[in-house]
Amino acid sequence: MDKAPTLLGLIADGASHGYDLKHRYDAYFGVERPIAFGQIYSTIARMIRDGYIEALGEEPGAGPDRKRYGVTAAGRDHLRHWLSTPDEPSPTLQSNLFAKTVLALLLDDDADGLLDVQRHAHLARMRDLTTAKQHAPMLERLAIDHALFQIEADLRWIDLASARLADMRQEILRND
Amino acid sequence: MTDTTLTPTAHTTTTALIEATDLHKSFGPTQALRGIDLTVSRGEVLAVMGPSGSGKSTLLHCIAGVLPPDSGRVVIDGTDVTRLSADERARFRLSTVGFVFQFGQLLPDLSALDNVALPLLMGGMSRRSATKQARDWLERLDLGDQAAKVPGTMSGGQAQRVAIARALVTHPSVVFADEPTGSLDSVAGEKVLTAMLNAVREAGTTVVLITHDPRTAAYADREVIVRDGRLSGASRGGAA
Amino acid sequence: MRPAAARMIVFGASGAMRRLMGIAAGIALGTGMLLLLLGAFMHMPERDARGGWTSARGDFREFDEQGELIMPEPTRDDVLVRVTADYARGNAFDRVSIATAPDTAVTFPGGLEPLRPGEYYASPALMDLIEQYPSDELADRYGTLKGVLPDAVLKGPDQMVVMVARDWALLAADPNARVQAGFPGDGPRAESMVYRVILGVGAVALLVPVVLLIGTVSQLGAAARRERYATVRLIGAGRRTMAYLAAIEMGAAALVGGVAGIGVTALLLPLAARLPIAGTRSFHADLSVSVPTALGAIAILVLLCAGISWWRSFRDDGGALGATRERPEKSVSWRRSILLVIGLVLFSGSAFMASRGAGDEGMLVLGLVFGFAAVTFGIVVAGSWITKVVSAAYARRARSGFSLVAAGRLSRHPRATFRSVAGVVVAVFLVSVLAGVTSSVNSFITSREEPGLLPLHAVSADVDEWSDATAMVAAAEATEGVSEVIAVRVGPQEEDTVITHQEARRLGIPDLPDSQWVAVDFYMMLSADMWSGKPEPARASAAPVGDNVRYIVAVTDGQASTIDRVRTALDVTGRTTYAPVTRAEYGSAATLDITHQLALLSYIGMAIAVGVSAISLTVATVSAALDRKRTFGLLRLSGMPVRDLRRTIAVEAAMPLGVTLVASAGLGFLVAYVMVVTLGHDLYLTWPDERYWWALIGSVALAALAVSGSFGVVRRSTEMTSTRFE
Repeated sequence: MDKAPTLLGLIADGASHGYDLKHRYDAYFGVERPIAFGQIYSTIARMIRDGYIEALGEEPGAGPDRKRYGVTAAGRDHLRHWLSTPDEPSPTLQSNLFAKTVLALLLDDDADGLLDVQRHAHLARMRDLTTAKQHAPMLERLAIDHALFQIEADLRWIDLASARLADMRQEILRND
Repeated sequence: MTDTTLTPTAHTTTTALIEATDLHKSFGPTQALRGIDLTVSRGEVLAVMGPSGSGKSTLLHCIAGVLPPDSGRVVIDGTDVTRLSADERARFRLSTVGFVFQFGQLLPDLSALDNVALPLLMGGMSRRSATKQARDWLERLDLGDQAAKVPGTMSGGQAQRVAIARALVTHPSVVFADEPTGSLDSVAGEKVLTAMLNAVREAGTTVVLITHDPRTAAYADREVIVRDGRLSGASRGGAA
Repeated sequence: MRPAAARMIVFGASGAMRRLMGIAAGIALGTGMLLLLLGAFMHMPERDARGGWTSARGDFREFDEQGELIMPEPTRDDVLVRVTADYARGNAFDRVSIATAPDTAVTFPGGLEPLRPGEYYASPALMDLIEQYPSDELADRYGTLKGVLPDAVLKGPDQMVVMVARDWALLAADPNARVQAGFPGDGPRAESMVYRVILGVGAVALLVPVVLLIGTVSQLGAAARRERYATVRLIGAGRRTMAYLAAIEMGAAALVGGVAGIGVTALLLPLAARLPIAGTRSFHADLSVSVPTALGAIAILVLLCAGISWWRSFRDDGGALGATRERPEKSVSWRRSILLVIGLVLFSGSAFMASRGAGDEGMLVLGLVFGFAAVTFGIVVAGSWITKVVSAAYARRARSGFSLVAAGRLSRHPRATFRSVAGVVVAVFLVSVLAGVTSSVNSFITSREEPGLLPLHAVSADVDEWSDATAMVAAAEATEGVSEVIAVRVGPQEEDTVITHQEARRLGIPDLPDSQWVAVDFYMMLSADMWSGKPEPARASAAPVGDNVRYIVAVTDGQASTIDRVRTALDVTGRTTYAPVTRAEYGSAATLDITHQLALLSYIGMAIAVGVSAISLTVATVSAALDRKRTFGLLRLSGMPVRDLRRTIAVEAAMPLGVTLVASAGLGFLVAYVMVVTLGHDLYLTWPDERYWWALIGSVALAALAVSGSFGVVRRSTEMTSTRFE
């Protein structure tokens, strides 16, 4: 899963400092494996360097975990781009898509639309594979079929997520 | 609606075969279509997807001229079908539209040959010509040896191919298919689908295909997703 | 559309042919009966005209100032006619006594040669009796046989009638003999009209169950047909095209059925000819319709069936998607009872006018027949509304599983559920009408020996003032088998009839006063059976003045030969106003009344109506069960026991039946009341005899049988396999 845009999204939603970020990240995405503080800070550093976030000042108290950050305009663009760009079929697709969906719900963006975009991308990919299959030799056809089934599995999961958006939205609002 | 009926023209100036504008349709308190705009290009194969209850079937029926919408307009090959009377729509369907449905809907006591010849006979063709054309189509779909059998004695896949032959025998401008492979397993389904698409691509027939199955939709040129009576955002964008 | 396509769509399914054959069979049955009734209806006036000569039409005789009968002079164009009842071997028949001038120019009926006094013509049926029995028992009454009456002057093959020629002066002296200018060529008004009404009503009574049966059979395989037709609609057939297909289908069935119906008519003709209509059986020709008429009737039938089918298909068109969802029925409203009301008004109005003798006969006949038809069909039309209203109430109180299912179906499909039982309801209505009418007649009178009444087989003759009573008494006494002859005289008060005390005792009259002469209520002693009354008790009386004999009573040994012999003897020696008759014969004469003959016809009608309606109910229930195979299968799958399914069906039949049954029986009696009171002669409705209750119980029992007959179908067809979605 792309951790950087995820953290960026959480910051956009209002998470301010490092500790807060970890807390929220773990709540949504860290069920099996909580994120390490080190990773958070390194990602924050990278994002500052890329100009996506900026420091907003410090809260009283010592330590870098008390620094507050906010999203820049460039950051918002990057985030929007990330949300609306479909992923390639890959093992990390599910977790990426999940993160995007949750963030879209948090930011009150169009989660439905996001999933649709991904659907269309998948279908386009399936279309290409199917066309290729017409002219492929038998053994290659089997390999293509395998890929097609995998993409279909993704689509099924997307359908499920789509159907559960309402429930997810409720749960997220409760957690806030 | 202040537009007058478009008179059918011999050729159209656009490449759009079907233009549906702002379709609304309700059944009692249930709103099936809530304002759908859809354009289908000539020769295109379009997949219509969406969860159950989304209004896909209703959309299909409306743009096929089977069900008149409550409001909105559907122009097929230059003819505004929403302005036609029920009888005129029936005549239009006979000459311009073909249907393939999930369960075939062949006449159970007629042979495959008779089933395929039926639309031609209904249109006034002589028995001999109709039978000959029907036989040709059955051959094309690899069903030559099934001509004398009744649907009940065929496999699902064979029956569906007969249904396809029936849909295509009148050389329609557009074929509407509602889950054509829905009751078939993947191998049979693929066979049916490829048979249908080969046949229509040869003739340049437009196809609108409802399916919930992505692997079926993958055979289409383009897909739209219907949700809650509307096209999803990513679907709106017009012809491919 | 090519005929080939139409043929494929309409006839190209196995179920379709079965269905059409069923419809054709029903139509054949109906056509067969209709053609018979039509024949009888059309030939009725002609029949009456043939027999018209047996009724006297001239003016009543006139008396001069002294009270003496004015004797008409014979002219070449006049004929004297006197019609009386005659009896032989328990058969009652008409004796037409005529007299003409010696050089008469009167045309005799059927082109027969004029009779000379002392000659007679007899009908073939009467000829059988004349030849069979000794002449002193029958033939002597009439004189010399001139010939047999041809069919052209008879109403039916078994009609017994005799035309006897008498001397003009002798016949003219009878005040009841009337002068008329030749023989009439038509029948008497009243009889023809009443029978035409009866035939019209009978036609409705027989046809309504048949029409319902046809309607029910049309429902067979309706579900599969709907699906087939929906597919064709989708492919691209318009509403009108589908309507034409439906018309073709129905028209073809009607054509086959109509032509087969001609065969049915031919089969039924000999049977129907044996039924007594207006007193006699029928000549085959009197029940036949000409070929052009038959073809015309069939053509009308075909057009009607095709037309109705076209209209219904057009109106009820399900559209291209018709098969994909179960369409709710169109709603039924109170307006459905309008036809019934119109029918009642039309029927009662026409009957009322007929009883007053007002209005054109032809129109009134039509009014009565159509009014009755409107009432009968009105019941069918209104029944579904009544079902809906009552089932709504039932639905509110439904508690168990099966009653919920039943209530649901009843309230959403009142037309379909009522249609199943409509046949039985109509049958009950018709049976009630028939029973009501026949109840107005004293059922077949059985006479028994009773003290105070004349002996059963004593022959009584009334004596008119020109007859020689002494000679008559002597002739009677001389007859073999006669044990005693009593002359009943006019008493000192002219209204009294008196006999001696000993004679009264020998006759078995009880409670005699002590006087030598007793006044007895002679007329009632003879006719008590017919009036269901009792004669007044014997009174003491003074001796009669003069030797004025009113009646002669000959007590016989009861043998038929004796009775006829003494009757002939009395007839020949005297001149009686009415034929000599026994009490037994007098009572049974009442059964010859028109209304009595209805009884036979009505029971046959009842049997047919009940039978056909039972078939109808069976077909309807079974086909409904088959149509709902899937629903029932699912219910069973989800755990509903078969017993509850049976109960569902039973309730769905019992509810509409129970509610409408009472109403239709009541309506039937109402119609009977109107008919009897206005059309009958001084008749009134009484409690129907037991045959009605049996018919009613039979109908309901048949209905129960029919419904339970479908149980087996339900159980078999809802086995687990029926829920596979094929």
